[in-house]
Amino acid sequence: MHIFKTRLFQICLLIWLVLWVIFFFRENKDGEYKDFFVLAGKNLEGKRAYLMGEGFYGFVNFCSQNTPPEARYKFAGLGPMKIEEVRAIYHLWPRRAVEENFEYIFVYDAKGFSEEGFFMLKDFNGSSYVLKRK
Amino acid sequence: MMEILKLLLAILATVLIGYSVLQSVLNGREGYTLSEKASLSFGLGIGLVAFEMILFSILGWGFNLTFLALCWLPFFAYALYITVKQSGSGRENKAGASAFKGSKIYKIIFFIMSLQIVSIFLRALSKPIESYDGIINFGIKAKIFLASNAVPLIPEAFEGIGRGHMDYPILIPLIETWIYKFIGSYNDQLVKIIFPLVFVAFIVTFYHATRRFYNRRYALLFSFFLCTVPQIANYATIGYADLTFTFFVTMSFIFLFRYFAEEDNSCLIIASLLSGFSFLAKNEAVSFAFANLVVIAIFILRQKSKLTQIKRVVGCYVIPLVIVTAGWVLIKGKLGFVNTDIDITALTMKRLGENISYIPFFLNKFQQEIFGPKKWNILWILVFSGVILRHRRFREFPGKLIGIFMLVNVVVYFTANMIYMGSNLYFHINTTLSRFMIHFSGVATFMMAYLFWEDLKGLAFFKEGENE
Repeated sequence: MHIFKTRLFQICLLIWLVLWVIFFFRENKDGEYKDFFVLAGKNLEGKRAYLMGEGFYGFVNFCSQNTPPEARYKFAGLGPMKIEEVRAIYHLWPRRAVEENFEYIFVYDAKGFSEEGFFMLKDFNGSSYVLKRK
Repeated sequence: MMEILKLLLAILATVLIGYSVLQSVLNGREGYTLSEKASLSFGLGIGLVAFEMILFSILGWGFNLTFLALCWLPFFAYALYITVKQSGSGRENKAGASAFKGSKIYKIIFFIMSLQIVSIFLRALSKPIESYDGIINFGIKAKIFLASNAVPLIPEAFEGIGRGHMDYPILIPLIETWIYKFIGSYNDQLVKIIFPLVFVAFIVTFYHATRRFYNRRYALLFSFFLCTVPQIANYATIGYADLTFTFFVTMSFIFLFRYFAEEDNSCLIIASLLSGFSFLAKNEAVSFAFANLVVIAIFILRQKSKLTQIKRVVGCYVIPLVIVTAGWVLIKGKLGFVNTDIDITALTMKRLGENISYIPFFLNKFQQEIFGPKKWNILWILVFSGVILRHRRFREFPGKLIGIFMLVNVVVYFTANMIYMGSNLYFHINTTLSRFMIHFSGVATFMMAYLFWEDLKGLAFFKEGENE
């Protein structure tokens, strides 16, 4: 019985160790190890840009530079509450992302998008721009 | 470089605050090693700082670091007095590394644990806050608190920050604010050091707590299991509250368990503080606090001097718990934040029927978690093997209380899912089940250690001081 328990225990420990090695060294679906080495050479701004995507991060900074801190805005062109929008809301605070009574619309990658009562305040790259209420 | 020094100062201040209160509670009691005190102090420290910041906000004082630190001065002075007295009499317990001397497998275990911890620090600190909940429920609130220099007590302050859960407790954003205040800037990369530190504190505290019931090798093995579970390690890197919460609820229960065995009031006070802090970390604290009260009630019913026990529990457990949680309850009420996912008054039979229809999906998802090694290695297989094969150990006291504690929590979590009122229970289960299982992982590992001890204690692997 003692030998059986010892063997069983050793097998369990071995399985644990093998699985740990596999899942420790295996790259996960988010490409975390690749990210790790890319991010190691970047400063904080560079890391933010990499994580949000260079183009989107540039646009978010553009919105931030062209609107006052108390601005109330909504996004157009982004899916509601996708991680990109959440990261942008975080980055743009104290600007408020609201559903109504907004003065600005941040249009991302949606060429030709317009809304009545709003005019083009600043153009980022033709398909991404800031609209302001007239 | 200066930022890193200030960050270290923030960590030191957190540990010192925790240490001051811990030493005052222990009041010269023997048997605690330095690493045990340091790790527990960090855990207590983050809870105490969050509690204090909530209190300051209610009083309208603002977050002034000097005042925040000065408040702990009486505790610090007393802790210093106790520490000097203890070091003079040589009563401080020394760690016994000799138990692992000459053992190759323990060297491997130490190496793997070290590698795991280093990787967690590197992973956490390689990115700023970027995960969904890490931003919407915590990171953005920390920005608000930093800008307002307090928890603003007007709901408008939280307008336009996305559709996060407003009622989520604020321990994580408060600790992030505490770090920002120390380093003097908003650096959401450095601030993530909190999470790996909580992980280390959790593993070290768990080791020492388990060591009190079994021997060092046995305690190390189960701490190793906990340390190398991929899911727990991942949650130490992404800025979520789940690991911090797990630390609080696990250690709260284990200190309570110690109280049942030793009847030492200091264990009861520490269990109460940790349970209180869990309310500041996650709403699920209600379940664990309820389970704590159930096992306390069972313990009291078995005692001859019931009245004495009730007085002790009220004085050392209930009162500290109420004090710690009252501030957050008050703020939540003032801001009008309510839980939109669970509202029993809005529950209809139709909705209940819909939720019940998800049980097969829930069970399927559950078995995937248990048998899939990607997130949990074979932790749950071992836990359930222990429960099935060694269920007779639950008949013994106080082991019975671990089983009851787990059962009460499982029932509460399951019921909460069944009365869930959010938009999509399928989505909810899919995204939260593996996270919920983290909450149980600490006590489950402790339970596994309890169940297998009689079988394993005789193995050469656990005989201390012998070379392999």
